[in-house]
Amino acid sequence: MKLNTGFDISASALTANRLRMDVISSNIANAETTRAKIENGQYVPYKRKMVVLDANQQSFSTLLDKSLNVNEKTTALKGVRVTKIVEDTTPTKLVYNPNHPDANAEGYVEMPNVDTTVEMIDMIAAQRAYEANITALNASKSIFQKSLTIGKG
Amino acid sequence: MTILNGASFKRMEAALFATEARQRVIANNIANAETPNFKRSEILFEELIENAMGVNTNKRLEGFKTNERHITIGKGSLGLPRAQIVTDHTTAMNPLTNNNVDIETEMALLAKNQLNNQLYANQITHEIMMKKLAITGR
Amino acid sequence: MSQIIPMNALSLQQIQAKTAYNTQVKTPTTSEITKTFGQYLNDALTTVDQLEKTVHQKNDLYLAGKIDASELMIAANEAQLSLQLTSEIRNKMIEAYQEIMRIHV
Repeated sequence: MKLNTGFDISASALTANRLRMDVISSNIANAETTRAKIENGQYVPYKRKMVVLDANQQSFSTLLDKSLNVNEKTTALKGVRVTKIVEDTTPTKLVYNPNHPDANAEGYVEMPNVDTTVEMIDMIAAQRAYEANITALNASKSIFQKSLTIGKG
Repeated sequence: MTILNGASFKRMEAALFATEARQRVIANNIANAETPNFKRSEILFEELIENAMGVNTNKRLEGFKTNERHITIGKGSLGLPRAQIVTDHTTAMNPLTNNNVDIETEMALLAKNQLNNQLYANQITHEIMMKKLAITGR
Repeated sequence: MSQIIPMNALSLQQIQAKTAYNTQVKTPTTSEITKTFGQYLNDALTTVDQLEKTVHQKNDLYLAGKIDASELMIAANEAQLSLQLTSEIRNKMIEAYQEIMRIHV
């Protein structure tokens, strides 16, 4: 087991969680945006975005092995990667507000399908995951540093 | 007469120099973390050694030769690969600035590089201590 | 069948055979002792060389990312300790020799 891949794996998790945090910030900021973009000549509200995480790690040595068609008998340790950002397909909320400039004929406004409470919970999860990965990276670092002191003193 | 000239010593020396070069490249990457259209670079050295060793691979990369009398690259003894600096042109996370520098990755590489630097310096010290012990007898 | 043979019953040939056997088991001479020490030193240096070659191999393996740093440190320490031991033994031997040579006859 190579210990210094522990750095790469933790770093990939940190990147993924930071991106997740960015997506959550975007969702919270646009919780009330009714005019996100124009589709078919009409304004559509903001759709909640989600990240798709994948256990994958691209490094030079894995790409080299793939190109040489090496059979990986042992499963390689993998990091995490955000493969895509997708839109949430849950339907948008209809709120009765006839004085709103975007109200339709019946007086309903289409609001984004963002639930701020859910976003807050996701935000805490992303933050804790980030901190946990920082701890893991620090642990890898101190293990390495300690092994450098073998034979000294 | 040169005393410190074993093949293994030369490789460790090259690895040490590669860590120092890598330190500069990473510092450059971090400094340009917000620059638009900046692509990060990295130093390849350990990967070249791994490739040259061909350990646990069925095929080894060999250089393409246009003439039989050319010297083969990548085959034969381990040799001394030279550290290469490559620019990473993978797509950026941030489409606005077109910048693919990721602070977490750079910090992790920095930590790893620093520890490797210490380790290679230790190994070189070990070589020097052995030679000194043999010469002075103490 | 063991029987106690009285001394005057032994023939001269039997006594000669017995003494010849006893002289075969003799203490080693000084030159033989020094030869065995030289052999020991030779073997020790071969071991040290082997350990140092192991360190070089492990260096390359680490650069390729196959082994861990702790293995490298332990191998390096082992090589250094064995060389130090061999070197100290040689020094002590030389000091002992010089001490003996200083004895006034």
